[in-house]
Amino acid sequence: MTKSGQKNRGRLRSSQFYYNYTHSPSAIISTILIILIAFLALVGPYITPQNPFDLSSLDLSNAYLPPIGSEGADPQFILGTDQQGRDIFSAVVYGSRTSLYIGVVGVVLCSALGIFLGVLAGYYGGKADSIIMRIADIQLSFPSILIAMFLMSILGRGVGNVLIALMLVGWVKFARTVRGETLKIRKMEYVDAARVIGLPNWRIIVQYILPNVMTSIIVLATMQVGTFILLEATLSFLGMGVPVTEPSLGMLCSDGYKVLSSGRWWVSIFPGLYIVFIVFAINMLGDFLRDELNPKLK
Amino acid sequence: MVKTILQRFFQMIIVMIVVTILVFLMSYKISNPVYLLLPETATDEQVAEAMKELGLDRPLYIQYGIFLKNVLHGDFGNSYFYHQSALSVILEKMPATMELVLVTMILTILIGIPLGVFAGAYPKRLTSKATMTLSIFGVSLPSFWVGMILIYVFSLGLRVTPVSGRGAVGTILGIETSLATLDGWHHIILPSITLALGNIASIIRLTRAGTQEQMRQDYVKFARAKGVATRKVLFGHALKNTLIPVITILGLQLGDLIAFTTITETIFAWPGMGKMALDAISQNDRPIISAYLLMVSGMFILINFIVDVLYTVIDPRVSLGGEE
Amino acid sequence: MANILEVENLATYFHTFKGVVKAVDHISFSMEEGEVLGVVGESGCGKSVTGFSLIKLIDPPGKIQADKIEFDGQDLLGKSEKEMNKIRGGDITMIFQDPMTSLNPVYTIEHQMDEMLRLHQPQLSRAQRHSRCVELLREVGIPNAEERLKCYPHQFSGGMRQRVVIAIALASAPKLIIADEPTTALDVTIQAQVLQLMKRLVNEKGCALMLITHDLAVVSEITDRVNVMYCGHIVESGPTRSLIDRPLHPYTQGLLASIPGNGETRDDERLEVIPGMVPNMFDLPKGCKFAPRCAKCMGVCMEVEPETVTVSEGRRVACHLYSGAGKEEEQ
Repeated sequence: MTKSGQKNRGRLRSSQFYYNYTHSPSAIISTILIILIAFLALVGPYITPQNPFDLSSLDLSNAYLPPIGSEGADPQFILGTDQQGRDIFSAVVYGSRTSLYIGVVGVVLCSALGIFLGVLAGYYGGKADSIIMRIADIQLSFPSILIAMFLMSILGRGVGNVLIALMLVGWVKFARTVRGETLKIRKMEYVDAARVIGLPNWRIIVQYILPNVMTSIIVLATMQVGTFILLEATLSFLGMGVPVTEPSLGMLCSDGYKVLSSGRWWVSIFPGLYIVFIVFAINMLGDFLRDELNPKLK
Repeated sequence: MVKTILQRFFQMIIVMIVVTILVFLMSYKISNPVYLLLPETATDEQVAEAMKELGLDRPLYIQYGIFLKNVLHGDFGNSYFYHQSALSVILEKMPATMELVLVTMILTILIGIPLGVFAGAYPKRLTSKATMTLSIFGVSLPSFWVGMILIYVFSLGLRVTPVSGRGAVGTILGIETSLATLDGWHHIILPSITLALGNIASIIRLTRAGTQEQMRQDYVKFARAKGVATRKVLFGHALKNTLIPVITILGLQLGDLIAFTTITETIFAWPGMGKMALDAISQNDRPIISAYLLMVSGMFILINFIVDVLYTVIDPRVSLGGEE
Repeated sequence: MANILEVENLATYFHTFKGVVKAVDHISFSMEEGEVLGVVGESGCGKSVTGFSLIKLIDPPGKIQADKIEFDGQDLLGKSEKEMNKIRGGDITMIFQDPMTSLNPVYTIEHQMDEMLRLHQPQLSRAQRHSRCVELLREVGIPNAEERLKCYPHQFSGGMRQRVVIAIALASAPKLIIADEPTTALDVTIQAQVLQLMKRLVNEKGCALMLITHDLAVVSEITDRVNVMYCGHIVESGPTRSLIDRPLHPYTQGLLASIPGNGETRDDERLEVIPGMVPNMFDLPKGCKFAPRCAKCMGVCMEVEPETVTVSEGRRVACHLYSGAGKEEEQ
């Protein structure tokens, strides 16, 4: 550990944030849950009993086995199987990989776009500002689920297309926040000073603006991952999201929904439960971060 | 004030025009109706002729002009599926959706706002903390899944509610609605709870945040220094300040609800315009899709406009701002 | 004259995660009827907390302790929240620093004045309350009172708004007004007007005024007596004139010397400043809290907290220079 590293550590330890974090059960529990979820997604292929989307590994004679604890269950399939004899547990783990991938990459993309447009609008102002903010205002008056559905019906199914749709839906929040804070920071005297000594704009943006908006971005991004996972699940449930070859949790629910009325609840309930679990853990952490770092964010 | 309203009104028109362009481009892009109208064996000449007949061979902007003209006359074309005008299909389906939205909105306001105010005013209480954790849980629920669970538990398992449909309808003020019959209420319970759950959770969170912020203000402390009891400070002073921004949120939520009826209605087979829209997408029923999109966009824009106007009426700082 | 307020060993501590902040640390003082008392000090010295502690408006994690807070013959310490609400806004009223934020933006001025009357003078009828509101606005010098009552706070300028706040504070004919930096947020030209107004009104009504401020100029203008506070302690107190002419505590001397154009400082002279900063409230020095910044600091100052001693008629000071220990060391 370097000297400055140690210093930073000391500063972190004595900060209010650190104290509140270590004294908040919900923050610690949600962090642990998120680590578990991420771990399960990463090592998923090595620990699941089968690759649920490799048709050769499926056995139709195992179709519709109930989860363990029910009558007729096979201990090999702890959460039961679907109509193709697919292990629900494996399907859920694989599905979470798609869901998490879309949630995280989607947020990275839309925060990048949002930060770019937000800085553009807030730092340079003028025409760019009014155009960007007008579009943002208009977009905000439409529900994001509807915009996403609209975009997906043009783009067609596909992981890449879902990411594009999420990016176009989510940038507004980031852009508005970044613009607001950029405007505030731009008026600060230290930024004036930096301009007086002739620092180029890009360096002012990188050195002064971005570090200052980072906490808000972290809070927004955390919450947005949860929102995006839900949004993707909904799109996929409606058959407008990911393709059948890369099923997400939402799509598994949609498959299971068709057999719900015949009493085979486990096919749809478990994937949905795992969505709730993931999103709840993320939102708990996001909520804590928001309260601590920037309570004004919505 | 009149000036601001006029300004907002013109903005509204411009947004609406933008929406018509987008909807036009989308319907142009997603499908060529000619293939739906002609038999699969049609020759290239027949296709070309049909396109000419429909004006589809003309430049895009002229097609848009025709589209806009028709739209302004309330003509969205005939549904390929229902074989009647798209507008009349939508108008027929609208009451079912609106009654669902109405019940949901009432649930949201009656449950969400009091809980939010309470949690914001007494953040240290256990009940407040429980409310907040439950509300995080509430916003983490996918609404399609909630619907499924409710159907499985209450309709299939306990058999206390019907599985699907709208039930018997009666008439209130000339509108056919299931709210007029007991059977209708019986049917609307589950879909409206499904729709309301996430909404209640988010209104709790926003109301709480607003209340907490107001309770930190100086005027609250000043009111307490005047000898106003804490409870009265909360309801007499902070509440009105809290509720003003809540109106905006409710407006936005109303839009979200209308959009989310697509999912809820599909799950509960509720014969509203949300289910109709999703069916239309899978059936490639272009006139219905564009009519639906224009219709709900118009609603969203109108809701926003009303909220803005309402805001200026309620908040003295906004409405009288120019007089200072 | 009889004492309207007697405070003994008032201590208000805030228990935070980093430790205890002793915002007010065992102070004792009293006020006579109709007296104007100034409470002076740098920001964070506990003067506002003192004011709020008197009417027990301290929110957790803050805690109030005292041997005695006696107001007008009543023991405030033993009073319940409900009984305190009768006193707050009744016999003791407050004026806040920022009139922009202390009035509720969504209610008319009349509503907010009326609230005070409804609570504390329930015998008045609606019409009587209305005419009382008009009368009060006139008293604080707001023209067109009848019309202005229907206005919302944002329709007033800062100075006018503070006049409204003063009118509210006067509405219940209080025996004590606690004014927390009442002129700090106002323009300099307005400050003098508002001060004069307050001085005139408290004189007319014979009510006592506790003026909390960081501005010694304000104090010298209208107060009868001054408490100088530093880090939660009253370091010096005495009649205004004598305290300003002959400050005893090095801190008071520093404060006075740092006022431009005051006393000995001439145009060609540099303005004096008190070196250093107010110490971290979590980590206060052991002896005299002012010792690290004090030019006359002695060995004992670093070790022992000075006792408050009476130097002459009405003049009290907490400094080793004037106590037994200090004098010995000097010799």
